[in-house]
Amino acid sequence: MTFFIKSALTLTLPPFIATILVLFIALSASKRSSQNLSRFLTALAIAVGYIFGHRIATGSFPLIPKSVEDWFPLLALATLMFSLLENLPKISAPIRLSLRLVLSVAAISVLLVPLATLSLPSKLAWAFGLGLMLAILWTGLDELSDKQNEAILPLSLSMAATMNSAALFISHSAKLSQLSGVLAAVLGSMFLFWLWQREWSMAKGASGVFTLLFFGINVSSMFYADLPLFSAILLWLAPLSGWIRSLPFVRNLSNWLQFALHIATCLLLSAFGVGIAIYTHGLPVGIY
Amino acid sequence: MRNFISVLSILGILSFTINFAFSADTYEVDPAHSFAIFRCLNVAQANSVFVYGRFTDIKGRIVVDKDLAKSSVEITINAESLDTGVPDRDRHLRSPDFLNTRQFPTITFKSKKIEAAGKNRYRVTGDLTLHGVTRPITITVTKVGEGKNFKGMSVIGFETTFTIKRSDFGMKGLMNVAADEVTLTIAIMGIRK
Repeated sequence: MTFFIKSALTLTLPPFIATILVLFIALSASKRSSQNLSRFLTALAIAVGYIFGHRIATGSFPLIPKSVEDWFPLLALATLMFSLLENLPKISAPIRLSLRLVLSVAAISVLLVPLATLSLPSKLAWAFGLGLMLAILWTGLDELSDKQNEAILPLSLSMAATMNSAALFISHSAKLSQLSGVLAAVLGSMFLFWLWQREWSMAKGASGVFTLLFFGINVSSMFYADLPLFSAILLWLAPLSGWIRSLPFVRNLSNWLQFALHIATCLLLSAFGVGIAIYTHGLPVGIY
Repeated sequence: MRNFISVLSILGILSFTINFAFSADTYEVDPAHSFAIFRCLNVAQANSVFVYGRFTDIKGRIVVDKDLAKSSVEITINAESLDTGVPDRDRHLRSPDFLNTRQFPTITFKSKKIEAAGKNRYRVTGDLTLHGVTRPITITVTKVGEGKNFKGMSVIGFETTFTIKRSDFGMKGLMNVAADEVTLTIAIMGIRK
């Protein structure tokens, strides 16, 4: 147990601190009322925090990717640049959505290209299908972060990433599981920051980086490790659990009940995802 | 008669020359009598035990020539065929944490230079490709034996043990679980084509 706690702390504390530090810079920018810059800095906080943790988990950060996980920091940076572009006021919604779709398909393609077990047509089909799914999730989370400014959103995202981490560990990939753990720590620090700064509402800028990392890690585990497809689908839906608050019969409930339903849905979806992974592979039989 | 004897002599010389020129023997690696075994210290178990495993699917070709410079060896191991006796551990070793076999399905060795290193011993320099990374290595190979087997086929066997660092081949993660150094023993038997 001490081994796991020590490993988890070594892995999650540095990205946690790095994210908080960049969020402080974002806060000072928002006080100077440059909201676009502040949004960008929030996305930067997630990217920096993640890259910090990624470096610790994998022991490397090659600029020319060799293994699938080498792509994640680069994809985080690419999405960060994209978030800067898509926050420009002159970009119309259809163009923004089309660009998102292109980036999503490209991101999934680079993750699937090295796979030796699929033919090229199969890879293309998966890249288009999953790219479309990624773009939908990204837009869904983006809209959600626009509607719900409370700290509950990063909390639910952190929970989804933690449960994702558990499912990946059961599906025989400790490294991808650790990377999802890093993402959970980064979102955890965002949640704490949000608790302190109640008026903070910059998650919109960060939804792209989070979704791409969350989805990319999950999909990689599906193809390169043993994450079952149905488990993956349930885990993809968990970050969108906040939408339950838009249902007519939930909207009339008190805020606290809405929060509880939001968290319960997120946990339920991810728990089913983890459950399917356990049902398929069994519980890990200790450290071999 | 003299002409006939001359023709015979020329044919004899030719046959000797051809035989000498093509004196290299090519052997196909016999998977049933070839082994690729590895061992790695289990750091997570307080460095108290080595984990042993093997790859069950090995292919390759050995060219044996009297001129060592013309001899060569090529080995291809199917990384998916890894077996340590614990299915969960095997799946983990195949995952992106270690070998990432769905991206890098084979481990290969191609010799570049073979030199004598004593009786029945050879210093073989070549490229080892593991986890998508190719690095030159030099190993000492021992010829275990050669001759005709019980079916009358010409066979030859070699064996080598050497140590690599997995981090040299891009497997840098989880050093608190499995040690960096991995010792490999490759024992192959070839059947002459």
